[in-house]
Amino acid sequence: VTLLVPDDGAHDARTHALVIGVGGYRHLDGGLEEFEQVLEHVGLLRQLTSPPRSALAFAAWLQDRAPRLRTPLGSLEVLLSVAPGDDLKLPSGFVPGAARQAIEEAYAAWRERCDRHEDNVAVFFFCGHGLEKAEQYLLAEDFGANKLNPWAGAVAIDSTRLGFNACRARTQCFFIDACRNITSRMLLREPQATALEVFDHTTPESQFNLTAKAAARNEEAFGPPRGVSWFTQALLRALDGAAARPGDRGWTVETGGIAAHISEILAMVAGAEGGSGRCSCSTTGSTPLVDVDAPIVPVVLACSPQDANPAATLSWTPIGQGDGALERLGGPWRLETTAGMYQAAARFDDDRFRAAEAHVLATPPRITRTLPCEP
Amino acid sequence: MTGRLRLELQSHGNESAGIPVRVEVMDPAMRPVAAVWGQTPGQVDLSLEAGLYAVRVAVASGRNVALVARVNDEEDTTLPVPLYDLSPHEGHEWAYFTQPMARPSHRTLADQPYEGAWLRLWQHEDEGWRPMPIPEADVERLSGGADGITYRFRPPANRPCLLQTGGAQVPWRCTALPPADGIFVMIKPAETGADYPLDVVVSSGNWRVQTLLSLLRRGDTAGARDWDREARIAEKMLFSKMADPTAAAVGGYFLLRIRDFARLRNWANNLANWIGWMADGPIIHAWQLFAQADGDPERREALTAQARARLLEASARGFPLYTEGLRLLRDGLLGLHRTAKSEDREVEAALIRVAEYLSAADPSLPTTTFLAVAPERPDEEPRMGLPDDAEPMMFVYDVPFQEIVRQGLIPPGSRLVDLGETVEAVMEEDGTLRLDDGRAFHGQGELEVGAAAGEAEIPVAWKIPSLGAWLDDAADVLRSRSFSRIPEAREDRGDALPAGEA
Repeated sequence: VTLLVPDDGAHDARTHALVIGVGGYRHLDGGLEEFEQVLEHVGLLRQLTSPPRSALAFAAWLQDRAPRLRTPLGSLEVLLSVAPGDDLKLPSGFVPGAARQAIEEAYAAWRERCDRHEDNVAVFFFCGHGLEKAEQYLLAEDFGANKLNPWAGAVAIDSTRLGFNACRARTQCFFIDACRNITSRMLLREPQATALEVFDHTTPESQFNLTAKAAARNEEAFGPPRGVSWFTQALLRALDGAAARPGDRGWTVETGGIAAHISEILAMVAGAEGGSGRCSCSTTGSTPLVDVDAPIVPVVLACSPQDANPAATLSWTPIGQGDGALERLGGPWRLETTAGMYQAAARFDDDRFRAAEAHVLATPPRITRTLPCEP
Repeated sequence: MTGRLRLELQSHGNESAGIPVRVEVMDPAMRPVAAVWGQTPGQVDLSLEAGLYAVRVAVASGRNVALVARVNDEEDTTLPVPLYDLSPHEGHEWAYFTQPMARPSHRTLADQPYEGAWLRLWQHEDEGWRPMPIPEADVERLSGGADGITYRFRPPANRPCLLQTGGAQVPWRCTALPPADGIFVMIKPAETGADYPLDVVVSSGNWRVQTLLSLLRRGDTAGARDWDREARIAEKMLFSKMADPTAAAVGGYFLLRIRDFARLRNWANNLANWIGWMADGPIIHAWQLFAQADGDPERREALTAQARARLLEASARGFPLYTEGLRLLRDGLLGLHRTAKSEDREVEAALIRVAEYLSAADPSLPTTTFLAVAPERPDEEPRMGLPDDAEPMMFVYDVPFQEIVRQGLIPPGSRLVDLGETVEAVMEEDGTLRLDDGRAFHGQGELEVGAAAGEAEIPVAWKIPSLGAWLDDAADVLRSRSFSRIPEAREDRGDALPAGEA
């Protein structure tokens, strides 16, 4: 089984997702059928533990949030490969496999589902090894099977993305989370990898395109071992509300909001763990993807000057809607609060510093507020 | 039951005046109530029903100030909006307001990664790219603290120019400069762990254009549309292409992004024809042609051939000013390459060339920025260190004392005393500042870091009694204009240093 949510066959608008996580590379160092890779620097590539976990996390998010997707979930297909020795638990009955042929077949079926209705939402997610020369190439599980042309097991993703513009689905989201251990300089020749579909350069971009790419330079920048990659964590946080904005129907995450905030959210996620990350987005238009509850906003509340912090009693009180009042001795204070309006205050037991208060609007992705307490 | 809410949009920087800001007002349930544009510094007046409101004032960089306001019936309420809080320094406001870049860093330019960090300008001439001298008259340091430096450069008009940065631990990187009377540049330390150790921000200072560009780069197409509706900016920019071709290019990219090909009219064609040094015009025109190439096969073939010629033309001109153009150039060439089944050698060569730039580029920045030893040599893993001796450059913040000695600004053997005249030192031949207690320093950054770390008695300010000048005056000479490095110490020592107040 690879279709975690089978195609419901509906001809109404649906969200159709294809999620791929390639951690096990059969023919690379440490793989099940490992052999020496001699072409270019392919021998530098190793097994990864993060991609299948990232793909499963993304798939789980889609299933969990399905009721709140603006366009109901119509199908979810997941292709995974797991590195030898990786103890990742797969869903019951799930058959792993993310070779190029499997990706090709799943892509074609997904493409057909997406093409059924112009209001469909197409979601493509890939996590695994990638590299870049004239375009970006994503490496499938059987990458390197052919020693003379290891690229036969890769996908030319930029050409594929451009080709997908011809699909009727007006909302097209591509999330590419690739670990790039081989630089273009190391590749003397252009990889001979093909796209999953041909493309016509005269086809205009889809009306609502969100293509977000992260290309970590090495495994350390990619994510924690046996954990979800930094980029996927950032993407899930964005979808859960860190990229949300309020509207007439409450809080909503739009494609444009993800594009606008994903870099900052990635910096928050990776930075907190001592990692780093960089991503680029290309968008046309903006359309709602998912409704969320009022998001949780990380807040840093501090006093100025800094030496006022240990002496301060800080309070955080909702105005109108929001969480209950909180109080704490000593700052700076890091808290997570529901988005909304608050009154922040600092008071002191002596007159070394001046008591201060301010109205604060807590909105995602994060806010920092300093209370002026100079005597 | 209404009252007036007056928002005072407060900023302090001279350069940041007139930057557009987006004001959003929401009710306590965070439902939108009003949305308008204002500018810094300035006022926005809103008539609202009495009640409590959330107010968010956002700049194009994505930063915002969020406040709460209570509006009372038939009363005027004034709410100061301290936009200056978004920048750590008033001289940096324009950059923090308009550019999607990292937050203020905990590091300073005095820290070790920035030892001997330098910059230089390149210009494109008939023979190709070459580093250009920057006379003192053509560069103005607007602010110069260890948290970041801002400049205004005046490069030659109507030819491609680049800013290159590098250092002992800073990879050499080029940033395309929009031709303008005065180009604003800010260089500051990047956050720890960032891909590149310096944040380099450039702008033509046309804040209306910069706002559109930044919104587009951040993927905020809805915000860009809204700003365009407010200012009708895209057409104005394209219409005035001769006066400001880079603004016209931004307008063109915007209209492509929102697929409003009708508003592009024939301006993209004219931009490509009239501004021969700029690669962006042909790229925009090529994509306009692609968009029109549907339907009739003959027409499609003809338009595709024209678009191909435009993309090759763009590639021959070098690289576009804007990152958006770099991506469109690659995508267009990639399409032609695939359609021709890899048999169009001209297209393939152009594609490989643009891919080299893309691989070395930072796609998150609005202006084309790529790691490179020289503009025509993009490289993902470029060199670090100082440029060749003969090539003009200037230091960003830390100045190695060795260069001060080599440039003859301080003669070797000079005695230096600290501000309180309690500590003495000597400048040695190799650029070592040796304190009388034996401790040695090799640059201003090292002195500052040592002093900040609380090491005993490390003065930062030193005067040179024999020259009647300060050590920092000598450093400032090499920060304020470009110079060529000198392999050996000069004979005419001390003559180049303007006397200070010491």
